[in-house]
Amino acid sequence: MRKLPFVLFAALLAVAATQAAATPPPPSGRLTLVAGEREPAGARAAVTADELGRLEQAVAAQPRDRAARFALVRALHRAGKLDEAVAAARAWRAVDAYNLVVVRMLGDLYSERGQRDQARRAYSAVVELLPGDVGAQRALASALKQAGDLEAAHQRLSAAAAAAPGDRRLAFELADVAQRLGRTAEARAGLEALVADTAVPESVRYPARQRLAQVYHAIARDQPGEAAAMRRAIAGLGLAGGSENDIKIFLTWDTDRSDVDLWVTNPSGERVSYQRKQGSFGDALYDDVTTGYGPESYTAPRAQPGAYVVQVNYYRAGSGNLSEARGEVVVVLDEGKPTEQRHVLPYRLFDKGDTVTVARIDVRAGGSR
Amino acid sequence: MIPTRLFTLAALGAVTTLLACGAEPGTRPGAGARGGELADAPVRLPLELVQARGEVAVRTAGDPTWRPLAAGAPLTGVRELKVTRHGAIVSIGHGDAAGRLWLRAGTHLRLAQDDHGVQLEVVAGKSRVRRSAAAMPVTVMTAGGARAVAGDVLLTAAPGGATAITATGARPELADWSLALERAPEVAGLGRLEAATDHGVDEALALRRVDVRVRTAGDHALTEVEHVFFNPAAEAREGTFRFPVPDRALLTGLAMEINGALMEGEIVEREKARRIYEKIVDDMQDPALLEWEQGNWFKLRVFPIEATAEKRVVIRYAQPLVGDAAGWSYEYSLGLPEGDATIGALTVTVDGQEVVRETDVRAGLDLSVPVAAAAPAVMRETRADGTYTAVRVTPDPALFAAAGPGAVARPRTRDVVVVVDTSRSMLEARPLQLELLRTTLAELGAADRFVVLASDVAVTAHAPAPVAVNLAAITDAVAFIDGIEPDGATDVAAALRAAAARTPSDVVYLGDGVPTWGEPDRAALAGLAADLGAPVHAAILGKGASSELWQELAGASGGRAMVVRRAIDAARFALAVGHGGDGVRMRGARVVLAGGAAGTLYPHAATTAWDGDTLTAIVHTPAGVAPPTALRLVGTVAGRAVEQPVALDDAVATAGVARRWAALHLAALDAAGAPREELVAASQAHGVLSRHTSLLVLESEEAYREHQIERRQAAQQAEAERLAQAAAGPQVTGGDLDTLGARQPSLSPDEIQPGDPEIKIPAPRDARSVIVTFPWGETKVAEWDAEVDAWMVRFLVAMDTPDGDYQARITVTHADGRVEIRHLGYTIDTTAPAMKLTATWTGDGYRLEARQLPAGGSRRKDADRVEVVLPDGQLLLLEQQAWGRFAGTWTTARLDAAAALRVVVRDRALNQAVLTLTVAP
Repeated sequence: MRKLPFVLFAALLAVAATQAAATPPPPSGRLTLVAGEREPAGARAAVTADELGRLEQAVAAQPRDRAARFALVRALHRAGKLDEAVAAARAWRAVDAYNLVVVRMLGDLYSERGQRDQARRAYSAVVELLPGDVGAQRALASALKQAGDLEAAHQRLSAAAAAAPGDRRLAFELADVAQRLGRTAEARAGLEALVADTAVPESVRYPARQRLAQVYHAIARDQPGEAAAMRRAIAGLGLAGGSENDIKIFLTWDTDRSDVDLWVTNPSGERVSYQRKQGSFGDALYDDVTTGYGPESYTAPRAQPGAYVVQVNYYRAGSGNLSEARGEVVVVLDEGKPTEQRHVLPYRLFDKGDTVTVARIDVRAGGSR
Repeated sequence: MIPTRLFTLAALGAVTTLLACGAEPGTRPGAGARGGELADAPVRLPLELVQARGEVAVRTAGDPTWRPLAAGAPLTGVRELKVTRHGAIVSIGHGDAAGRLWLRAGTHLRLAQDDHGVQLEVVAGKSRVRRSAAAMPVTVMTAGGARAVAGDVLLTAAPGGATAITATGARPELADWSLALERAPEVAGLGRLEAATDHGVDEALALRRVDVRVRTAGDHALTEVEHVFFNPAAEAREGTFRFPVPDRALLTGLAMEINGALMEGEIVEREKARRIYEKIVDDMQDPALLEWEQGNWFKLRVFPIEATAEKRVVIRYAQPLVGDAAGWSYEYSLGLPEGDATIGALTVTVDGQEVVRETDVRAGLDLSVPVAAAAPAVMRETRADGTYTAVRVTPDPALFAAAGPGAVARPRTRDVVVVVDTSRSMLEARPLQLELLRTTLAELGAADRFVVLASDVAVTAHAPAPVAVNLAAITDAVAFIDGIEPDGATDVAAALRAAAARTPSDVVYLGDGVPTWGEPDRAALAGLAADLGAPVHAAILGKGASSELWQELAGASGGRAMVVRRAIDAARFALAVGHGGDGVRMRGARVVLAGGAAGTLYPHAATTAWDGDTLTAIVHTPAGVAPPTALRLVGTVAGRAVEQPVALDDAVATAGVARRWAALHLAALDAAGAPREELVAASQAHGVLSRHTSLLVLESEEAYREHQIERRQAAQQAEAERLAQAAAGPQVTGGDLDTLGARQPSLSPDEIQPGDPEIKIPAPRDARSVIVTFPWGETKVAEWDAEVDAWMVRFLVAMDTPDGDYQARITVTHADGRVEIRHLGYTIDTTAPAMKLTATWTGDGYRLEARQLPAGGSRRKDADRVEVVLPDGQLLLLEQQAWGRFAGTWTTARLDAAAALRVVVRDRALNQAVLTLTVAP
């Protein structure tokens, strides 16, 4: 596995640390998460000078050919030529001002160069150009989440939810971010509304119940007087396997009409995925969402000693040739327990068939249970 | 002397006098109590032409002759200035030592200078004056005496001969004509039709005729511009017609001639209209599709334009009349950029009166046609879906007086914070934004200071502290913004907080007005704007611009919000910022429904009202519900809440009110993010285009049926015409009924000889009386003449009446008791033109020249026709070269012997002289 650039890896860890620091738990010592990669291993493969030259010629020949532009910026990015990639992206944007793909690529490149303010400026142009576009707000929220800017992501999702009040999956995402920001009341209200609405698809309603259980746990922990009521509320959610689990993993992504899959390989070597939803250790994948955005979730009530490898696979692209999938894997260790830890792991997949290993969870024998 | 047969309308004034906002208090020493008197001495400072689009003439001391003021030839000793056809700019003193004058077409100005400075009096028309920073005072003769002016003011000839003063910044839209003079002529008032040649190059088709027909309705005018183009090519072509809709105008209709008949267009959802258009073009039928292109331009795709054939296209729009101290006027500006194609024939008809008839038009035209002394304050249109009531509300001056004298105070040095939107939405508007920034900063006072904040997701100041206004500082600030690539979203809240931190005296915002980042809540943003404690002036520009939020912020703070689409809009905004700060104002002014009344009232947003301003509100009351009988004007003056009841008595049936309401309704729906379907439905129901609709013309009624397009526009057009006819406002026309319209009209006061001309006054038939009072005190009662459908009166101009300018007053007492005063100017001229005639051999004929000489005590150069009877009996019409100068070529072999040619010269009052020109061999 090729190493990520130091800056990127450091940023990834910083983001994970930031998210985890929101509710600093005492470590259980039994479960340990090792962050993996953010992009597929081959994403930064070397690009030959000939190939770059050919791509540059293609752009020169067809300056408005988006596929050629995209390929050139991608190639420069893969080659680690970030400055040249920024220049190529800016040149593309100059002739294709309203193309959101290049706007986002430019933001990504600035992020990788450590230019956080410029990245935010570039990303935010998406909503400046399309202030009423729900998809644009959502895509920007995803990029901002990946950059660790949860507050800004919350604003974007709020704007999107206001424009599309009937989008229940969007409401779920908003509640999820509110939860991560520590806005328990907002998260609770949003999730309870989803759970109470029988018209909401079960693919959203079930993860909403899972999240709501976490919210109730947090309330019980922070407000002892409410603990009994919260326990009753959790029981009433009817979660398979209950709300206290060793490992819970959520997967979301930002591309509509595409299919990104969560693969978790347990210590026995079984890959729990859409093809095999039940693991032999009682672990299970909940729902295979094939219509975009997720969430999918994996639950291991009692983790077995050994390593759990968490991967994301880009199974099917959405419409258009330039789409890529990005999103987050949220790993919750010791869910519902005083030692609960939450890790947010952004990922990015460029092409159909790409797979990225975002984390490994090492489970020590014995432990606190 | 033969009695005159020519008498046309000159000027019509209103009784209203606007507040002299830009005037300094106090009267000039020695000035009379009413009007004051100009000093005897002419202007000693040289007057120099800065820009002349029209014809400028001056009279100097001791010389009664009007002489052209030539470019590059400064002239001293000027007593009078006159401008015709189009406006001009004149400097007073080298380098504008005393100031600069903008003169509108039809303006006549008297000037003087004494030890107290330069004095001005507007005899007719409108002008603008800017007193420069130099020490030379400038005073204006007003009804209240001579008043010194400071800064930039508008001057209007008011009834009674006095000059009314209005601060330009308080009514910047009245200065548009002067702003247009400062920039290169651009296409205005008519459309262009371009079609591709065989080589794929677009070429403009010849414009054979333009007929502009105007009907006034209340305080608005409905304009119909009919274009007749000609396709000289041997094949049918597809063309693109582009039309610039005037500022504040509402596009209401489109018709195109198909098979000899005008077909009305229909408003259709935009994408559907495009699909139908493309299909029909494929079928080789006749569609036309009108869509908004950019700014104030609309684009019409036309197919086919038949080979060697004419194509007739009609555009209709509604626009507000201009009300000022002179009354209500219809304005029409015809812009023909240099080198542009000519118009074969042009007519402009206002309320049935032809005011322009020209052929081979090569230059632009600026018309301000007086139409009424007063417009109804309450206008109403009733339709099947309810009643639409428009009301103009003028705040009671007592509300402003209650503020006390301290409320007028304006800081001597303003600290202005300019927030420049550098977000991505400014990408295409950046050049205009830079122009806006440059112009706005340049209009700040010399003592003012400014700082520019670049604002998108973050805010960056161009300087750590405010800088003084000077050219270098302005250049630096513009370069600072130019160096920032538009990117990111717009955090309005951050910008307001950053501005507040600098405790500004004024805040200027230049952007698209849409918060896309940070705090989006309007109430929260309004709170931040209130924290500024300073007027907020907002120029809204760019693709997707929305003025809703900033209108509210500006209105609540005592500033202004304007939509800026063109450089001239930028200049108008800059005037408002730079020169609108004086005077008591009502903040948060808005008209609201009185308690319990039902209806939807627009505009929602509050505004700032200065003393003398007028607010317009339009309310829709659903069918079956009684329209409101009263509204309320609310606001704050000097921090105190004020309220004024507004009675809706005496509503006048007026066409177009529903459409005006609909335009505001559509804007409100759009700003609220209403679904596209709702916008399209409202657009179609009211016949008002929105950004989701287009106007589509199909070749036949059957074609409309085939494409399931309901025919609403034709019915609405017919209804609008019926209402307009029913509610036609009173107008005054004058003239000899036989000759009116047979000659080219002029915007300057017309000239007549003594005799018994008739005045035609098309006041309502049911008027109680129409009385004309002449300058010598005689009063005549007009009578209703059914044949001409107007009130008529004939009067006698005594034979011994001295030549000069005169004004009659017309008093119309309406059936409801309302009294309307109008003014009618005319010139008496009894002197036939004297001419100097010359003939010069040129090699292939004789160049014949005629120059007008002073005669009979008159130095007026008013000859307008010189005909030469050649030996073979044919007439040679000499072409006018300049005022009083005519020339032509008699193509003939060199004469063997001298020949005597008969020359007939005529002036505008039809005074005629017959002369002899002897041509030597």
